[in-house]
Amino acid sequence: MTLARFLVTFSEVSYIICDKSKEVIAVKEGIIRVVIDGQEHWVPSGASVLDAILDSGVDHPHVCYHPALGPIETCDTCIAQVDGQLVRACATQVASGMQIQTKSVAARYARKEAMDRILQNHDLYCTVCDNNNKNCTLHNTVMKMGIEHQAYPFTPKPYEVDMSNPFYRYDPNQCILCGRCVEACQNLQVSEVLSIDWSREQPRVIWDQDVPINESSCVSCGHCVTVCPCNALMEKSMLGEAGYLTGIEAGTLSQMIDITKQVEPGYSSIFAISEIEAELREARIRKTKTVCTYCGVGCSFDVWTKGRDILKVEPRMEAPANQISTCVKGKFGWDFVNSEDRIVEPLVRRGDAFYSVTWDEALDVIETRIKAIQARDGYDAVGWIASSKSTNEENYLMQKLARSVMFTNNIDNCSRYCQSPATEALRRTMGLGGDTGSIRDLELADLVIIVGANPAEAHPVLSTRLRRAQKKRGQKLIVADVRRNIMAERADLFLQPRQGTDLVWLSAVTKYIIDCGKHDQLFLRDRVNGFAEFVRSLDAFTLAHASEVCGVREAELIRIAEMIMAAERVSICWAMGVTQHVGGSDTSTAICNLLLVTGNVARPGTGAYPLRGHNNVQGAGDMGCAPTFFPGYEPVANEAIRRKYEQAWKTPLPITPGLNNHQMVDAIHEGKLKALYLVGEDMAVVDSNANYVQQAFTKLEFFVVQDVFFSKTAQFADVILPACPSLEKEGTFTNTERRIQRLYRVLEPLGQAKPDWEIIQLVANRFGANWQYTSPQEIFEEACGLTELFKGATYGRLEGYRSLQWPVAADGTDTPLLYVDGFAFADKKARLYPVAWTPPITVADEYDLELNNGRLLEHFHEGNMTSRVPGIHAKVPETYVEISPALAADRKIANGALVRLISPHGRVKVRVVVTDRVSGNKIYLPLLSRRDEEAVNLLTSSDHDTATFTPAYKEMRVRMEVIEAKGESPIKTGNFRLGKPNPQPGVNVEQKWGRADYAPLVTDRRS
Amino acid sequence: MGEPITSIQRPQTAAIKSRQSTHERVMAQLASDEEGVIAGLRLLGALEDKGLLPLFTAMVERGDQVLARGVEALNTPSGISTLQIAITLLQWVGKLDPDSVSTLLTALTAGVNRVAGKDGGTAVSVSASGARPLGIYDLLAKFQDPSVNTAIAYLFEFLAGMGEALRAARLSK
Repeated sequence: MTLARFLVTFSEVSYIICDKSKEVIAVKEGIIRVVIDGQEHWVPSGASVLDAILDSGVDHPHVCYHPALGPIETCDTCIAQVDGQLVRACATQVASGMQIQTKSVAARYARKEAMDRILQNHDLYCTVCDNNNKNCTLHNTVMKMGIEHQAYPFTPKPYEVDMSNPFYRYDPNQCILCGRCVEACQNLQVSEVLSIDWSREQPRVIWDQDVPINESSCVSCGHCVTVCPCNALMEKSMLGEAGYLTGIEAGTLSQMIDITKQVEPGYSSIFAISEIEAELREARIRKTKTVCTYCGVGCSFDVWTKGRDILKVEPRMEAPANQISTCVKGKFGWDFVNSEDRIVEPLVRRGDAFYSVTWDEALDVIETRIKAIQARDGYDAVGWIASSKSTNEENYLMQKLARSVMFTNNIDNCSRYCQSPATEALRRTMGLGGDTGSIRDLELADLVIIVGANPAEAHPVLSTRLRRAQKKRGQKLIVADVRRNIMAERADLFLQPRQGTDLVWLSAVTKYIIDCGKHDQLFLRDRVNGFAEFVRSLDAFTLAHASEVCGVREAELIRIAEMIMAAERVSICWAMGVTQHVGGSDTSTAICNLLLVTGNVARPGTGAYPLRGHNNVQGAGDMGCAPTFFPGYEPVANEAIRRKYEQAWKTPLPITPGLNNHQMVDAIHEGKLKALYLVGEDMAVVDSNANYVQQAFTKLEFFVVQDVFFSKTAQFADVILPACPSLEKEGTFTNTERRIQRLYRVLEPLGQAKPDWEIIQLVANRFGANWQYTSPQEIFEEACGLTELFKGATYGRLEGYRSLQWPVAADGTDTPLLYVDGFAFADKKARLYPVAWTPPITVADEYDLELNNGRLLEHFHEGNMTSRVPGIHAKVPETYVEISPALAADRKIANGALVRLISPHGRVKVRVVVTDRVSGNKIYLPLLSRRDEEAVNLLTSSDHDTATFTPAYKEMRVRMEVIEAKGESPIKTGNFRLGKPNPQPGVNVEQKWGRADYAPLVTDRRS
Repeated sequence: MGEPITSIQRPQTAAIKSRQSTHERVMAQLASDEEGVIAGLRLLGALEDKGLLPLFTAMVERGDQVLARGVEALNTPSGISTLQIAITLLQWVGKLDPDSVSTLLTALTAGVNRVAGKDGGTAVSVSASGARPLGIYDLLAKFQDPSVNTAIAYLFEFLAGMGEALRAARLSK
């Protein structure tokens, strides 16, 4: 009895109690007894017959069933005899006393017949197949079933192989029509692109309404390829590369397959050869686990490499945040690591050019120049900026370098640009600066509210969980955004408030709920402080006031309130649409207040979820890369804590308050900050008011940039140090769920590039630090050992796909759901925090268009990495501005028009896309900017959130000048936005069962 | 301090250094696998002496074409027939009972040795020129020999098994 697996597989709390001899002596509710092939087994009542059989140790066939997808019922290979009836084991729930026979003649005959039908659709040429890597479901199943010959010969289908997508291909001739890809697309990714057209004489998978893949609404997330049980859907990067014989010229290969088929004496011999060949592949294909760097979701997966070539990304069910899910960037967006544009040697500015130098020469320059500035102007004349894309270990070392070696608190990271307001709000109200639960809680919620976030493009895998919950379980969705984004299209209620007014409607809804007496009085009484004062602070936030300020109807706000009041479990997600405003912290606080008032915290399915934008936004803050905090958010101003770190690091530490990165830019202009050391950030493009930032860089006496590419920022540097991308280093990242995960080195560093932690140590030792770290593990365990928050986190506990969600107790116990035992304040009570609305910034009336900005699904920010991935570049080669049909008509321009956008701070030149994703005078400019004149931050201002200095990126108005009234559309063929999805409930297996050529193999012939 | 610049000068020394670095890496690898490298060089030398290295080199260099010609040659009725026979023979060998085959081969060896006179037997004189031919009574007398009788019984059993399989095959057709 392998009960432990059940406890992992099923969420129900159910168990049996055994004595020492493993005899069952008691059974708890939820466990039932079944008999499998004469043996008694105890299984959870919700289990399927297939679960029960597999758990009993029987290797039972199942081709179309996938644990991430559930039963699909297309393949019939899992048929078993249950109480005398032939049933599909995957779709049959166990019942008490059930007699299950897997080895009966009837069941074995049915399964053999099912496999024969499958093989009619699939040419078995395993040895010369790129999918012959020990994990081909079909190959393994045929082999384990001991099938020697197929009853029906392979029959080719009259369809061409579809090679149109840059990342994957579909070969209809190899497709067994199991429908896994369809189920994954329709109900896991929920892009609703793929379906099987069962009405054809020879059915096949189609994209949208049967168009080439690259002309469909396919987002290239890779789900279909990942779940395909054979080689019908394959990564193009695998083709001709994975096998020893698969690179053979097509004509020769085809003849070889023909010969093999003619002489084949039985599949076992063929399989023996293909098994040997698969074994040989292991010698040259490396499979290394890494963690994705394209957003804060924290997807992890194996990267398959052959030399420096990336063969494919293979997600696995063990991955805690994503299981088998990926987005286009995570699945296909890594070729940039081999780009010829990589910086692979240290560079030093001499006159009008950079010159390649040795590491020693570069470090000499850094040592000499910084020491001179420190001697002349003091330690605080130098600023240090870490990266939310670097590892926890590197961020820890960076702040240790600044404080312990360089004696300054001028240390910050780019989470200042995005998530600091959310962290501030969570700390104000609940005590800890992290999401209160997990992605799993978002799935469990009855109602999810998304405010100012575009997760379908910025946090794609997380958004799939919401779409699946909505489609499969009826989860309700409210989206509040100035732009009709993908999730808004799917929302039960879409609210379009005016830019920067979210605090008002959130507060009005909160007040309405309290006025209705529907606040959670017990929760507020027992677990929250400050209710009375908070209620008074809401006086001004009437529905009428909110309607007027936000430009929304009172009825919409009432409906939102009613949906919240009706839901048992409410979660709220938010991102830059909330935080990047002058009132970003206060609006984030209003969200937390609403959750506290309604008791939607500290229970499964509830909570506050600021969606971290970079892979390690959370970790960079956690590790103390902020002027006011040591690692674990321990305050620098606290003398006892400072002494703790002085003792640990064996150096005195500065007490002067440090500058955040926004203040550093001002300090450069003011002549107070003379030198800057910047890790992994294209600050010249991604900081707001880019012209102001770039002007600051020209004023620096000395500037060091540590980066993978020769970015715009690097152009201003005096020394450029070649860093490694994530695939070339090991360490840990912490995702938006506070989940710490390890990444392993997939590739060796290119050229002379080094991991950031090694570079930081080299620099530190030039300044007498004498650090002797030999691995990221030493750094991590030093960091965690010093903090209370991560006390028990160790590399051993994070081995492979294991993860920990902080706080982590000394014994390794982690905390997926926060505040179950009280909030992180001395009295264990949360604090309602009254906030007032700060109106958005104003500019002169001539700037008549409301500018919004954000990510594109395909690209990461400005595109330094993703634009160097040929497939992504082909799909979205350039940026554009979205304008509404009304604005296009007003200005007499069409798709492809070239316009200049002008704000009080700068100008950009881009082409136009006319779309109803935006309305009226609202326009949207993505962050992607391959050319200098396209960067949206040339338009944004230096205004910022009052509490955290996060720039108000999302508050700007511009005017538009038309340069060309029409032109070629910047949206090219291959862009999923041009496609027309084909929503289906799933694979529609009933249509297969209803075909005249389908003879049922189960006893109940209706199915 | 300064304006943004985009020019990167990589003096030739950088390329030389890069080559030096590669050279150093190769030398380090050679040093760490000294014995294997020397053994490998000896093997290569022997292959060169025998003319095999040029042959293998040509086969690899012309790999696609060599393979294509080979496959074309095989993809004919006679080529496929040959392969099928070869595979059938291999399968046949795989189906034989190792113990029986061992016994049979031991017996065969003993018989051959006896014919060759290595086993102290007299039968060698039977085949010698000028020896008296075996008559019918001699044959009948030989049947009385338990060893000859066993061998003949074995042969009849073999024929019975073979016949049974042939009949079954004919029936199935």
